Amino acid sequence: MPVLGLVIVLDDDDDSTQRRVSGALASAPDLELGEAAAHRLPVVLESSSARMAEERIDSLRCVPGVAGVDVVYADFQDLLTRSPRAAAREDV
Amino acid sequence: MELDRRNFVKLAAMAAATAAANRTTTASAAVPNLAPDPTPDPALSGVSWDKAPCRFCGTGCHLQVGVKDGRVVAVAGDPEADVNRGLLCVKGYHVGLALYGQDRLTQPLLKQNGRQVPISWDRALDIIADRIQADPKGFAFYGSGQWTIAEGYAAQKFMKGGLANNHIDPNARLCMASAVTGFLAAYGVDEPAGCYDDLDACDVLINWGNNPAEMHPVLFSRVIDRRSRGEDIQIIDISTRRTRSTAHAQHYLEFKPQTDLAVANGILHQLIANDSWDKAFVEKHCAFKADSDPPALHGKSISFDEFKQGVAEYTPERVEEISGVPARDIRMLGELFGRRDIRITSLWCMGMNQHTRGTAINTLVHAAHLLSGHFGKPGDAPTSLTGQPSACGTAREVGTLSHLLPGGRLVEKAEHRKQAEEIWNLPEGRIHDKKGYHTLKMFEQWCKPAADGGDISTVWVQVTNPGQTLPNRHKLFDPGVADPDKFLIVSDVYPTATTRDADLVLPSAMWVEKNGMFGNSERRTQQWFKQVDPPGDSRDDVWQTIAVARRLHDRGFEGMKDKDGGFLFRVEKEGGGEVPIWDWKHFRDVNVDKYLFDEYRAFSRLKHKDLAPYDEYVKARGLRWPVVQQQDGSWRETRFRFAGFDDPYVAKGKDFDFYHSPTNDGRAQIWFRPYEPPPESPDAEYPLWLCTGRVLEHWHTGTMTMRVSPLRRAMPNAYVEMHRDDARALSIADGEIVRIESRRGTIELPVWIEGRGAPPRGSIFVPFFDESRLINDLTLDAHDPFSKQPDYKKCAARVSRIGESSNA
Amino acid sequence: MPEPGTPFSGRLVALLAAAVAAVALIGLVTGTSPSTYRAKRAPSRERPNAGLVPPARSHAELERRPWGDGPADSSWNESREVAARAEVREEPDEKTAALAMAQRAARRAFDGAPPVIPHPVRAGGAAECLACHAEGFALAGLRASPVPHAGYASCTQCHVSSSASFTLLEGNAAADVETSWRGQPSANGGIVAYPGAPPAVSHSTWMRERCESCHGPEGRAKLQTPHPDRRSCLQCHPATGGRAGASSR
Repeated sequence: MPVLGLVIVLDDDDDSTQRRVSGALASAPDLELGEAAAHRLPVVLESSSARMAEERIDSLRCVPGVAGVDVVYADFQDLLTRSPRAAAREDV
Repeated sequence: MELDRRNFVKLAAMAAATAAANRTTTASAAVPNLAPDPTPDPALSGVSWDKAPCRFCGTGCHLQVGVKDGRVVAVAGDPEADVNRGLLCVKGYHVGLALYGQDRLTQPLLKQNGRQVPISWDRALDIIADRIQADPKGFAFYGSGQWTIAEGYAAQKFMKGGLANNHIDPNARLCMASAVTGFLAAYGVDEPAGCYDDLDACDVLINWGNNPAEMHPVLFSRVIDRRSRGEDIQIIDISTRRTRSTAHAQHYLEFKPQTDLAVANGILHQLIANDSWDKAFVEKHCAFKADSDPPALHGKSISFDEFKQGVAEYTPERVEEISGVPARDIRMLGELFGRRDIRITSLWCMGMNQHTRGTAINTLVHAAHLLSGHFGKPGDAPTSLTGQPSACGTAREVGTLSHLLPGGRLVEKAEHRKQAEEIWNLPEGRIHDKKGYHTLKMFEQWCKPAADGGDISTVWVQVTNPGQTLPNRHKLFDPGVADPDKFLIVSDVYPTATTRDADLVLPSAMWVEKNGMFGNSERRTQQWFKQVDPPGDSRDDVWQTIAVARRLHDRGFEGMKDKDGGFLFRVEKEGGGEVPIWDWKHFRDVNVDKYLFDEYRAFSRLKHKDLAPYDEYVKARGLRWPVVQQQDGSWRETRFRFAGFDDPYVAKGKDFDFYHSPTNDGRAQIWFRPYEPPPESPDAEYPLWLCTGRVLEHWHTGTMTMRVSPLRRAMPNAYVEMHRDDARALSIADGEIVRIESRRGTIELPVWIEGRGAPPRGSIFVPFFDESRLINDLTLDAHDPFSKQPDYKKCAARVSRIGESSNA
Repeated sequence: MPEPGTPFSGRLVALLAAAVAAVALIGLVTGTSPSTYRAKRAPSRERPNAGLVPPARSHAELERRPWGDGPADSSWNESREVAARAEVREEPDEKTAALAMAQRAARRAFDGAPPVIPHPVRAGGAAECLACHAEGFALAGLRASPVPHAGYASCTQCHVSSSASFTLLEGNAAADVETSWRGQPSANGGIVAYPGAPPAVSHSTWMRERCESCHGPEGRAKLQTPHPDRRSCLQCHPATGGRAGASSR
């Protein structure tokens, strides 16, 4: 079960955008929202697999008021098996 | 337990996300992250690093030089250096490549029957000693602002102390001399009061005939990068041609060549007309001057009313008439200088110095800053830049000019000669009491046959290339080469336009192949250690000088002995006993640089240019003089001279003190100097202004940078910049090779329209780096009456299509 | 977000506080390159110096000066001839990372040297360069790398064109310097601590703090990251050479 620390970048740093995005995400069971700083909202995402996490991040990017999402922390303790992508990385 | 771990991970994730979200940096202000290095960098394994200042311009960037297996393999900007903060320019990044051209000179060469053939060092030293002994008064030393401090100091002592001969002058005469006379006339002592910190604080930057985007790129980006951080800086480009610096300026004021004097007078006029001059500052700290009759460096004192009358003529409309700069722009400048709420820094370099009125325009820009009080506060400074890495350190401070002794002393002042004789332990009266020949006179006398009074028979050139850089070469260089009685000795690292005509060529070590010290444009003295071996049998210039001195000493030449009979360059081992540093095998037994520098230090106090002991410079990325020892034994540098808040030589309680004032009353001098027309202007026969200068990629005559692949590929040869309309009028196409002529010479070059720079109608520009196309065959040798610096920036020329009559 | 410490004993709280501080510090030091935020925002608001980018030119002018005032000119990749002259051409598919590195090295005198520009450049304004190189692009075999270092405005101070754009005198067209210079090459891949571990960064990160410049979608194929959505590169890939040149003095 990966745990990710995300920064959601908002379109604007006014209160209404913050409220709108927080409202849309507050009820999501896989997210925990932190304290927004200007136009950045820190969030923790729990996901069942790396692929699910990627898809969930993509879906967050589509939430109205969201300009972008950045992954700033990841814990893959549960996923010790090597993915083909990780193997590909090594011959670089 | 699993739940705990998971909560722990989530908490860490939230902490990281919150920290990232709270970062306050903005996109444009990202600061490079300098995390400590936990493990070695595999790309750079086996590379050892050491500091060195850059070999090229006067900015004085510090590098980290990467050495592997005895060769330089990489260069990085030094993030710990105040000057450049980790950044370099394209020349600096590639300076390491300059050591490895395949045609490095590696053995002494003697011209025999028109061919240069290898000889031994022993023979070379004998030949030089023979020439000197045959005519010690006819021997001249032509040096350089690229000399290290030790090299310049040794040559100075060898000539003035050893040969009792003052015919030693550096190429800085062609480069910085008018800045020196400007500082002397205004403040009574040479070199800028401000420093590069002004560039971080100024609100307005004025470039006077100056293109720092190409010539001092690191200083220019230090200003314009502030814009990337959201700061508002106004850049005003006062120039005769559009350059890369113009692209970053809000205001471009284009003046007709020579009329910068009218522009500066226009500012002075406006300050008085608007009653916006800084009365408190001027009344307390300034006095007024104008030219005397006959003209002298320090002119005559005048009253404020006389000054006012002098500048009264220079109304904005009158200045527009003279200079072509619109009256509204003169008013804009006048208003800016009249404001007390902004900080103004002026920068200049060759545009103001290579000028037949160079001293005059230098003093006028100082006058604008003094009269308006834009002086001595961080960001308020009139600052001249140097083109060479040690024009300040070696030419100006060591005083390798024909009229100077070290530390700002004059050869024509008995007291100063006596001080030098004492420090050098020479018998009284050894130093000759008349100044020697300045550069132009030196080469004029070398080119003139002995029978006609040409009393210079031999010139030894070190670390410079006069065969390419002297103005009007056909007059000042070629005849000496052709005269079989005249002899030319050249120490250099590559074949150049000078070595190819030399009678004796000596191969030199360069940059990190030797120990060295430079002094940059902001009074910063910098030190480095030898990091790689010089190739073949090439040897340090300072050794060459000392070895010749020793050869003369061994032949019984009295001048090479001090008053106790010891060798002029006697170096004692720790614990006693002389080290034979003249013997190459023993030259590196001691650090000769350290020995010479610590001796030279004794000269630095007179003009309050105090230097710290050598070992302090080993620890620092350079120190700006005066460097004064503190109560606790530490050494403190000075950023702002004459300013009470920083300069230790300003008495407590005073806000300013010009303690070397030419009027001996602590006052700086505000000069009035009228505009006067140039010695040669375009006419019907030669209708164009010719300006010469440098380009970003090449350093001066290109002897180093033309051997650096990325630089040569980007800029392989010279060209002539021309206005489209001028080209069209002559039916010349962009890229066409044309003939350029002046009254003194001819050259053929490709036309580049709207190229690197863009001159206005009626003027052309040619860079001087290309040794295959010597533009100095065309330039004028007219020079400033005080500084003796020639004007490379304006003479009359014409352009014609090849194959057509040149009068077409 | 639970209050820190609620599920834990007091002793663990202290431990946690240290851990959080450490993580926060890592976040602060290595954090995402702020410029990466820009790509996701509306282009109209984010285009740097939009007002300074030169306007489009007339067709007559395009013919006379195909490069106009720089690569920002709209015609610049329409002319095959110009592209060929500028050496901005489709590069062969890089079969191996080594080949990609070799192509990269051809534009650099040593590891850490500023690369040369494979097309003509004209004036000195940063806006012209950033029109393509702010965010970078890869299109029809042409590739513009995003600038890896933020905050510098005088691009041509360090980067020069790989060839001159004015008439060359005889002998200069093919001339290169004769030199024995051998620059320090870039390393081929970083240290991998154990199988599966993220490889360490194999080069200095000084002036290269924006990883996607080379490793993002606009980078050479074999140098690209397999996970472009992860933006905090140094979090997993340890920076080994914070900068070149840590001398003893």
